[in-house]
Amino acid sequence: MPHTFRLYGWVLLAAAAVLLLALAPSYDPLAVDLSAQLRPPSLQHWFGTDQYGRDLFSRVLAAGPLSFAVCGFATLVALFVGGSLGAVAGYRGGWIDTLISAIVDSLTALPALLLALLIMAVLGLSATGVAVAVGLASAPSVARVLRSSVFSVREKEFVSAARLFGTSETTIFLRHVAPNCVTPIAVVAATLAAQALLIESALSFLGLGAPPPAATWGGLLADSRQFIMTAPWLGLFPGITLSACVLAINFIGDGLRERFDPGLQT
Amino acid sequence: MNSGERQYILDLKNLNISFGDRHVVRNASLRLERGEVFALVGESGSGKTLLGRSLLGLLPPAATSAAERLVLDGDDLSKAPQSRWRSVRGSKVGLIFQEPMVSLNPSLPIGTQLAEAMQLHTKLSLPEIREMACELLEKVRVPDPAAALHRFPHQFSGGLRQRIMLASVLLPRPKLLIADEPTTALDVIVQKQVLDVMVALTRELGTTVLLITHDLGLVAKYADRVAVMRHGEILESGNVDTILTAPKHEYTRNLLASVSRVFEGPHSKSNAPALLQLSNVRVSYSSTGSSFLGSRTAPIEALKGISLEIKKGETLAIVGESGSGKSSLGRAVLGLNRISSGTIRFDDLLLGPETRRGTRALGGQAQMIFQDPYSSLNPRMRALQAVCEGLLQDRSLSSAARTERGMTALQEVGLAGYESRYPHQLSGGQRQRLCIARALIVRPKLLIADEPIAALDATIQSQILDLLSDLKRAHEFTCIFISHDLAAVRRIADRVAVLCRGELVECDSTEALFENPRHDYTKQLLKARPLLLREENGDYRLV
Repeated sequence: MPHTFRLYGWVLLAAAAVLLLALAPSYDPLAVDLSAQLRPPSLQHWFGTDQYGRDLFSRVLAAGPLSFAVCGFATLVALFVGGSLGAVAGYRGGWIDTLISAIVDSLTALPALLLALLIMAVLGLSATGVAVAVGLASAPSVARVLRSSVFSVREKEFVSAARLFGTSETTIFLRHVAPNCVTPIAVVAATLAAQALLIESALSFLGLGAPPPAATWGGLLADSRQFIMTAPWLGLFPGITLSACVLAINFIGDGLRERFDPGLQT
Repeated sequence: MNSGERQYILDLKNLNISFGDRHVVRNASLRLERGEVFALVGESGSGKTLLGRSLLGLLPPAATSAAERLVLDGDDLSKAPQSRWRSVRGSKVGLIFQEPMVSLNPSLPIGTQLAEAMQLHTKLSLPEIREMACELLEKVRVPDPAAALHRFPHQFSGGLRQRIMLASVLLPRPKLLIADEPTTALDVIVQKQVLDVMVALTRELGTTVLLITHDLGLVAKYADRVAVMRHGEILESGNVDTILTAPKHEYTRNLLASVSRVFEGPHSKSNAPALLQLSNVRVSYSSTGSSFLGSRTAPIEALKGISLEIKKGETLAIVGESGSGKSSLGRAVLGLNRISSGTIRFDDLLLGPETRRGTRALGGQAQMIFQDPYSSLNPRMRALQAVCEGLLQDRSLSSAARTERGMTALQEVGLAGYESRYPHQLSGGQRQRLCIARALIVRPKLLIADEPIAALDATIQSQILDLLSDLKRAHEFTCIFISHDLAAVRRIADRVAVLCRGELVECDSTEALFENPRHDYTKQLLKARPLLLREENGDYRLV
């Protein structure tokens, strides 16, 4: 079974990561040490230090939880807003569908990052603001996917059969339609989470993320620009970490697709 | 090469096909004589299609096959590489697929597609090919062949497309034509036209035909010899007459029994009161896709004023081709489709065009069994859960009482022990049983069965029909049986209503309608589908 092999592989990788973290020299990510400015990677500072002598490895790690929290919250916002819009449009049809689809389609025409910037301008600078902005910007794609899958499940004959028993529409939606739309939504959610992580980093790169001195991956990348010739590690390590995380979330999405798509759909 | 081998166009000995360790064809041997129509009969999964494909070297890459002998028109191809097959395909063996909608390239005019094989296999010039193509299109009775060459597939009907396909396959004059369920996707009357043309033309050209089908009626009508296949093995083969009158293998006997119905005689209750009265019912569909850029098209009338009465306890069959409005009729009665005018009286309930929630008004007294057992069950509900669904509306029932009634219902349809299975763990026939149990658990007064057996294999069809008649006797419901399968109708119905393009053309007792059809359309419908009937002396008669 290749699946179990792959599973063991991941478990080993996670164990190795935990072990590495336990071995890594720990620093306060905000502690300034002017005697150790712009040091290249070494045993004491695995990722080197920045212009204030702060340990880059600790800063990259410290940025993780915030980025993931923002990205998780943003995904929830996208699922909730996009999900309800898509469900209503797909299940009710008619003029409501026409209206919602028109709005959703015109929003999809704008790049998500641009949309998020616009919403940020209204909401102001804060981590919650970023999350809501990113979530709202990704909501149209959830709405589209859910609308089309609700639309196809709604036409299935088991829905007609339930209707013949006199079951109410709300019950039909909750009992028959919603459970059969979980799979595509799970797959979209994973794709969105990866996208949200990128948008969040892009926003903090542009200076619209959590304010300094708090570390964010986008912020670290932005700071590294002026030292790109003298201290390339400042940009390299946050960049690699961000790419690895986006890749990992995409892998989860692929896994979900593989796991759920063929078996239960037929 | 001696003369004995010469008379066979195909000599296949001990063909084995397997996917990994799953053997799908086992030791199959066939000999096809020149110019004959040879039928290969079997249910789905019997391996008949794979056997046909192996004669073209077109097996899926995951399959491994080996034959002791595969001699096609004097060439031994048992170990032929793909490059060799390429020269055989088209020029020596042609294939007609089941689905005429997808087997022609929609973006090329049919003339180009017809010429393709000829350009590959011959050195003829384009005008010559064109002339031959025209001639052949005329033979398959395509109107205005010269103009047809410049048209695209979507401009032809399904029946015409299948005939064009036939012309394109026969154009390089193959010695052997493999027709894999060539008419399954077509309506009965069109089916007859296509097969008539195919058999007449291949006889004229001297082409041998391997007809792969599940329909014994077609075999009896068109084939010279037949082989019966099950689970990858050829059970018996011989002349059609011999096999039909004296089948040696038990499976063949079952198969025959399941398609040829003994006429049971009418059992209608003529003095029973009416359960359902339709008067002048019209249903029309307007195009609902109304984006603000798209234009609305004129509404399509699915039912053009139907008046019909169904008595308590009888089984009324509604027959007609696809698009005749039979499903619309069923859905209108159930309130799933709104009617645009007329009235439906169900017991003492009156439903009209203004009734908004007709389905809820019926309160579960009318239930339905759907055609596709794959989409009529929620894939995330176990069998017991699915069966009990109708009982959830009755809040006075305890969950234990529900479970008990569910178990009884499952037992009744022969699904005891399957209560925790998901739909995808059940076969097509089992799913349909589950749907029947689900519909009948609320003890409806009316059951509408919309093509309940169309998606099932012949022997399973027979079992489902038996189950329906048994349950009808036990629970005394009224039944509307919507079908295009006249054999099934003849077996189960008391009365038959014939629909044609949304109009009721004839309605009579089953016996009267089959013996003495009055309307032209009914006559055409009855003639189109060869029916095997068993006479009292045990012989089979083709009707």
